[in-house]
Amino acid sequence: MSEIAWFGSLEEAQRIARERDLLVLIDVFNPT
Amino acid sequence: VTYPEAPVREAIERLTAPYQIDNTVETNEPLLNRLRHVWTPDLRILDPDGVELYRWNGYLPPAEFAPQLIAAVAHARLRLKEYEKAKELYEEVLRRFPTALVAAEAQYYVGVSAYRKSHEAGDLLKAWHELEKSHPGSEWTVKQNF
Repeated sequence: MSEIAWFGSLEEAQRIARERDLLVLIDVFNPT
Repeated sequence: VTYPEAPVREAIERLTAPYQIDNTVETNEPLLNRLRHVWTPDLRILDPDGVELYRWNGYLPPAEFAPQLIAAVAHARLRLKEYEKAKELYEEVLRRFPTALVAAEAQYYVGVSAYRKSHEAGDLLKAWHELEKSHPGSEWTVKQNF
């Protein structure tokens, strides 16, 4: 099993989504 | 424990550009306020311009997260008027995860996406008759009455 390759910023995720005809997934989490 | 599972990872990487936000980090506050964030887990589907198209809260185990994510992207495609893409994703939920919690909703929206594309009432009714048979106790079976 490997981890998801999360993007480093929302702006980068939006840019990649536009380029690759994807949608942006945001996961807001609490690590505690 | 949900994200490393292969079906979850595959669906996320095939359908989305994913971004995580830690809600305990102070520098994330402006974005969290913009999202009107209240409770974790907090999952959003946005278009590339940042317009929110779907959201859900709460933990889901891998067997439920993968179909919920696929259905969420289907909802987003439907709202973008990409009816064929939406229908294919709802049908993927039903084919791969027929017992998932989100399956009845997917069956309901198979009919909606087919109807929005064809404007044929028969396409809607065919999917909704199937919903009556497959999920007779579902809230989505109640919602199909008109």
